Amino acid sequence: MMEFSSTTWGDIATLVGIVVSLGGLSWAIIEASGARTASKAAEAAAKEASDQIAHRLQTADLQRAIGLIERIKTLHGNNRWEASVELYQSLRAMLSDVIARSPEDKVEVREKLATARAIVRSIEDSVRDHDDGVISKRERSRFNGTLNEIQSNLEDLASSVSFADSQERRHDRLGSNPYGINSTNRGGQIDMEPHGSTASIYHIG
Amino acid sequence: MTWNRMAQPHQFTTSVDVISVTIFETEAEHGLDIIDGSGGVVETLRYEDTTPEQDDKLARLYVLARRSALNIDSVLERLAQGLEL
Repeated sequence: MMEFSSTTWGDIATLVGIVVSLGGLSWAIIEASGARTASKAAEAAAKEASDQIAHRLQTADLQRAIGLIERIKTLHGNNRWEASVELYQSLRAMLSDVIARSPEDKVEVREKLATARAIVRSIEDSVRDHDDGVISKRERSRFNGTLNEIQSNLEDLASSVSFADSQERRHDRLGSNPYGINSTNRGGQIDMEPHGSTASIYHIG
Repeated sequence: MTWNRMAQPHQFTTSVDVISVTIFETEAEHGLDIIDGSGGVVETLRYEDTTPEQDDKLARLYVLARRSALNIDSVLERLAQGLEL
């Protein structure tokens, strides 16, 4: 009887120990799962914050580039060609910054920005080639026409980036995936066709 | 691949991702510049550097770039339609 009783109590103790261990294991699994979910959420939040900052910096750079083009046109109007060359360099650097901040999957946007940069470089080279600083009215008109088109395209791009950014925030507030189809495809749908121009010097789109 | 007009006549450019290629013609001679992702000219090709075969290829590329940038095919098509050819 005594032998039977001690064996039974031992089994019960073992069983309780197993149950407690299983309970502990379950708790540990749940905790680990929660931690992983929290870690993923933190990662997603960090990526979202990073993307939003990149968008805002991109918009700010685009706005500065647009302002710079306006200043270059004013310098052209005053025949201050040497001064404009310095601003062309800044403009190209700004466009390079915007390109560097563009996601790699936005190939179309990156190509358009790279084309704009190449065109800006060509105008800069043309201005430099005039050592005497004498540039004909016709040439000035052509330069300004091209700059107008680049400016217009950058404005379209800046508003599209801002729009995509606000859409992402809206989707986030509504609990939708901020990196869903709407926001990621937005850049690919940017209408960058030059409008109001007489000649399609800078055909993008 | 879409080519674009530049500020100067007889100059056209296109981009593949962030790399741009510019082709131009001066007095029936052709040249080409390649601009990398950082915006610097990494390679240039000038008439004096090329073999006759390479210059033929450059000349053909220039014609294609011009046709693309000026949308010449579309213009000719519309003209043909207008003339009911």
